[in-house]
Amino acid sequence: MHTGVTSADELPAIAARGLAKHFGRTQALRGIDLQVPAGALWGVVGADGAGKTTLLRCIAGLYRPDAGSVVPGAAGQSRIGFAPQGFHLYGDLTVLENMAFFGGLYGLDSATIAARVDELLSFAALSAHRQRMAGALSGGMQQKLVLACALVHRPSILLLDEPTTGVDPVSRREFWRLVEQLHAGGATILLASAYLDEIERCEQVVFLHTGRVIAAGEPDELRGGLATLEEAFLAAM
Amino acid sequence: MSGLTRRFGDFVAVDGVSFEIARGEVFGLLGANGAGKTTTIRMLCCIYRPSAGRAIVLGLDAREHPALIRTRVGYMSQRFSLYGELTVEENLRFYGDIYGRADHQSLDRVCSQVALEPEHRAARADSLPTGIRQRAALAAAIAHEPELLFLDEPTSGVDPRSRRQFWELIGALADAGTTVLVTTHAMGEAEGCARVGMLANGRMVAIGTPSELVQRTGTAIVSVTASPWQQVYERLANRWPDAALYGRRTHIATADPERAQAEVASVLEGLEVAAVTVQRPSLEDAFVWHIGRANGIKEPRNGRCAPPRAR
Repeated sequence: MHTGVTSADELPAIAARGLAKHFGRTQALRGIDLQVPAGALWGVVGADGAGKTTLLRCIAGLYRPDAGSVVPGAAGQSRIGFAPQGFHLYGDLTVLENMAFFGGLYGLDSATIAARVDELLSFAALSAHRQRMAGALSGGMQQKLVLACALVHRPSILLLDEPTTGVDPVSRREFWRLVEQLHAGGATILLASAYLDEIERCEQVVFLHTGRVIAAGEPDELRGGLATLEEAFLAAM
Repeated sequence: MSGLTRRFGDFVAVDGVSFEIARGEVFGLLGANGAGKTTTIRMLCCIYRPSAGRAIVLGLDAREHPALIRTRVGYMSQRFSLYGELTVEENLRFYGDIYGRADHQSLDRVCSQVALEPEHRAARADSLPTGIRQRAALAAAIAHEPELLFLDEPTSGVDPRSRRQFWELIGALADAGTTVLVTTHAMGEAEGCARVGMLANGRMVAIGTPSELVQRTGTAIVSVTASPWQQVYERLANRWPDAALYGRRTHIATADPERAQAEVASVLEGLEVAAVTVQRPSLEDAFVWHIGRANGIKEPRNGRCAPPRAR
């Protein structure tokens, strides 16, 4: 698979400068600086409430920052595929209907949707399940369907919020196979996870704590002399 | 337990499972969703009656003494089983009442055991962060000082720091003599269990210490760092369909690492190879291997996807 990345992509695909966001008295993000190059696969790790979801939502343009700037944000929504945490699917619609719905949201015509849906269902090994209710699928399959729905408009940037929480190891591996193919295909991917063993699969990892970046770097770099990334994360906190 | 089986209608959820857990052991039960983990636990806590086979729990036959067994085991189910609209204190009192242990001393003891602060106890359960709710659910499960504790995916959706704290609590309970059976999807956690059993389609397909289970695969991981990494991955995936990308490294599982290393060199001819190293497989690698072998099939193959459009 060729990358589709051209030299015009030297600019970071995702950039945040002094990004801050609060909800009432809760300061969710306290000045985030982040530059994810085009075509990179980065991971964000943090405890509950560290700001992972808020960060992804600001990048996706779903939240407006209180201070600082973020790219792409609201202006770039057509380039973004966002797979939110949990299974955001219509359980009483079929796999096909869910995908068509998301395609419609992006203003694709029905012929384009049909072609994209075929391709993505085969990509996610869900073709045999196209007529099943989304709610009747296993957790692993639902997660792949969420990903497929986020890809229907061919975004160049993919934001994945804890995509493998509660998913068994075999399904998790299958999910990562999709992620690595998208990565090899040139997509820019930012993935939030609470599992440090899977976050090692990212090129660069960002440790988020109480709305701040407390460390960032390649997994080997962050690990330093410690045995696992988890040790390094707990030490950084 | 031996030959333990549970059917729901025509569906066989647990199919002739036999294994033993020693007192004071932390035993991990692994398996895909629907493999039969929860059903096995529920038979051992005497919530479900086995359709066939025999379970001996704390020396008692589960068919003959279900009520007695229930008073001596603790069960923390998935999703933590707390009443969200009640405070933690009210939840603990409720569970304590069931076992006749709702007195102040018992509650104080168990709360200090799991590091629940007074403000946590006074808060509504659904207002608390997941990590604290999880410790409160553990408190509810151990308030009656059970000899055997069942934990069903206790750390799903919990952040790394809380997860580490939780496992320290489990370790302390085991050190004090409590037997623990825990299910999890996080292989890093399963590495911490004394022994691990892997379930697939209701059957036990492998059982042993984590390092035994890794060794039994007879495979090693060859990790390749070379550039450009996309081409490296593509070439290696053509030769080894299960090749997986880790950052910019490609991992290959192989029974013959020496031969694979030589082959890697020839497959990658013309590219810049920085490093080729051999690693021990992770427990997750071993899990996928054992489950795949039991199912007699390789991992389900995903198809290919067109690259994203140029920006």
